[in-house]
Amino acid sequence: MIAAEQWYQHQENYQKYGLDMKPKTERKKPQPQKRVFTEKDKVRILALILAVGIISIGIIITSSFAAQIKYETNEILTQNHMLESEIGNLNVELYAATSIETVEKKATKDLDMVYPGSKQVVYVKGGNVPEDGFAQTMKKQAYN
Amino acid sequence: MKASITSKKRILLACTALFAVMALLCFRVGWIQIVKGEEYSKMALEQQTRDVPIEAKRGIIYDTNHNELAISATCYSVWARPANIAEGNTDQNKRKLTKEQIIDENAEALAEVLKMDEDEVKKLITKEQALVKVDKYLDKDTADKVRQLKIYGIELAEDVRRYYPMGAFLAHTLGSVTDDNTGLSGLELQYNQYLSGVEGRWIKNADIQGNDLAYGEEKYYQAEDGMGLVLTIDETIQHYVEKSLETLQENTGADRVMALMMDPKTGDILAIGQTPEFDPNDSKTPLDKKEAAALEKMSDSKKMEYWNGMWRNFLISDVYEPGSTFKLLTTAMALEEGLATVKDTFHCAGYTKVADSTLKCWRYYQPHGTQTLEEAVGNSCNPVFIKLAQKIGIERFYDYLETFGITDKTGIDFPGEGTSLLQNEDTAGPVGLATMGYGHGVAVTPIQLLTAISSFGNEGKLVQPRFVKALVDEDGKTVKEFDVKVVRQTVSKETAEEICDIMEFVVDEGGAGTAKVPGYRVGGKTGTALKAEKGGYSEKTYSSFIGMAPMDDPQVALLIIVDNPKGVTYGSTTAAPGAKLILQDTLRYLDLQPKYTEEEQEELGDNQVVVPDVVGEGLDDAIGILGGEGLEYEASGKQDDDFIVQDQYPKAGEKIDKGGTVYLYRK
Repeated sequence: MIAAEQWYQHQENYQKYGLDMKPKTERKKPQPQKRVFTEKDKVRILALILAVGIISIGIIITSSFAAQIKYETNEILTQNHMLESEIGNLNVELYAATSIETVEKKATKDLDMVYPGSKQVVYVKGGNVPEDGFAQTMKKQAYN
Repeated sequence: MKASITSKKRILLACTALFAVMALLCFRVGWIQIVKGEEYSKMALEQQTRDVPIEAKRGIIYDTNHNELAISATCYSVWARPANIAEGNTDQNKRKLTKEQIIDENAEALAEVLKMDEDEVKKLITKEQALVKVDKYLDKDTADKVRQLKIYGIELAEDVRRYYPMGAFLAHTLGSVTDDNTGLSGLELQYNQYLSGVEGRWIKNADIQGNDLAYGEEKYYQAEDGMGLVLTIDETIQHYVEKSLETLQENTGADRVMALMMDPKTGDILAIGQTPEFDPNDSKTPLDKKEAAALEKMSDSKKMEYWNGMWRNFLISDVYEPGSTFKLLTTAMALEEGLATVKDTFHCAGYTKVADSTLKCWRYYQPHGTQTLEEAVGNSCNPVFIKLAQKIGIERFYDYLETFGITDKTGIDFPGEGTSLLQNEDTAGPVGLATMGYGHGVAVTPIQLLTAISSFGNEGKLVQPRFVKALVDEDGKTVKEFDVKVVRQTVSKETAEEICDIMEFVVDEGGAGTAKVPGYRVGGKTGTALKAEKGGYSEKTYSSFIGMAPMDDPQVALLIIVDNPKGVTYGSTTAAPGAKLILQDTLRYLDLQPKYTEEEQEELGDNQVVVPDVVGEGLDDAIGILGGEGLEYEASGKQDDDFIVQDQYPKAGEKIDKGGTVYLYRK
């Protein structure tokens, strides 16, 4: 028998065992090509590293700027709140100082002012302007 | 070769170890990020998320002219962490002070700033507690001083406090709030839902210091500030009333003096006051020092009883026997039913027999004799009103009490309104009816009585009294207005006018002449009733005056009650003069020009003198000149030999009442 015929008969013997004996061809292993780094590649790599570095630094700077703004905002809000509180307290003092009782006390005790008698009050109406004018009319009425 | 192989083995070992560690770390990262990732994210979220409540600003309470009566402002509280205080700050540790020395030093410094007793402060900062409140309601200056002490373990917290800038003004009506700004009494309680607003929320991610995280999430829910109340109270009229009550209290030596003023057409309460007052800024301390000292020594239950008595608004919550002021209602009932006319005559024999009882007139020793109904009201003659009540009959009498609002609450917007105490209609009997006719055996709240009488000044229309007329937002814009509520017609317009005429007669010619204000038509009725105590009557009295002015078109209705006056107890000598003081200022303030009758003009003229010119005179000479005209003087500044009169008021040539005062001013 020739070699090929022997091979197929050999194969038939093994096929009944479920073994498929195909002729194996030897695979040629690819020879790894050695990469050669050119100057251009080096520049590209450097540029990439630089870009990544710049972007990273940019992110860090932006974050810290945002944090700084946030801090300043918080500070302003706190100051605003304190000022509002102070305004509230000053308003309380203002209302107390301008209350009718306080004003009366100051007027009568410190400034020696007095309440007018019933005949010493002149009633002036907005619509009626006297011929002589208000001042003259009040003077006449007040001083009889 | 050997060396190379050994090196290679070492490198391999090192790499293996490194890779093993890296693998472990990667595994750990994976464990944290993937396996435990959800759990840790949840924990981080819980830790970083702050849910800060935004307190809503409590609404302001204004008077009718938008003057602030109650306002909220920021204050500070001092908290101590006793454990940290004992450790001391850096400076104290540098000086190598002992724990005792640190505590003493801190207590002394704090006590000085807070103006507290040093021992008390020491007791607080050494308490066996994690956190102790040392003091509250501090102003900003004091808080800054505490901060400057730099005591380790002392913290300041911001609070909101309710302030009443006018102090002891309208105290019984405004009420007060709790420490967490919830209404406790008075209008603060009644309108708490409007005043308190709605709390907001600020949900944010924050670090351990509480600062917001730059990339954290944030949600802000704005707080809705409380609405402001605009009261019907007029600050100026209220001031006149409170000033007059002080004078009345001094003049009568009474236990209490009370006044209530209302607009008869709208039911607006223009002023309400009672003595003794208290300052709502410090509502637990009586203004009287002796009372305050006595309160300190009381037990807790007695203190509570005292405070309730001090805060209670008698005019709304409590009842009293009105006495003769009630006769106006009996008169109105009789006139409305056509059972009597103003000119009908009645006879007073000093007493009347009703069933088995003899009911006396107050002037039983000198009976009034024959008098018209108008005169009977002026004389306050009891037998006449017994007769009227008998004519009206018990059923109609009680029907009219209901019509006048005496059997129900008025519905005023104030908590704790009282209601009347009446005898049972079925069992009152003829004696009960007779006594009710002249205002005894019936107890009403002052607000009920004034509301009923006010209907006569409003053509017979009964209006519901009110304290609040509008709600406003924080900018002062009106959000809601409350309408005037006319409840019902009590009597016809004609009967109401007749009663007004009778009231005016009582002041002009009857027993209430001390309430007369020259130039104005004032009407009213006085009353004096024994106080009910321990199931019977005591010797103490409620003396009162109820009136309106001006009677041609009533703008104000006024009720004054004097509780247990000393000396002369009649309403005409105690309460009516108080009404005059209040009305003469109030009517002028309301721009009501006095219209003097000829008699009044004449009287004023007779009683007046021309003020002489004393400008340029020495004080002695000036006093002599004024004395010659029957005038008093009051000099300002130092009264010595160098006093030369620079100016005078009233000016020379002006007319003032005899015995009036001329004010002298020096340079």
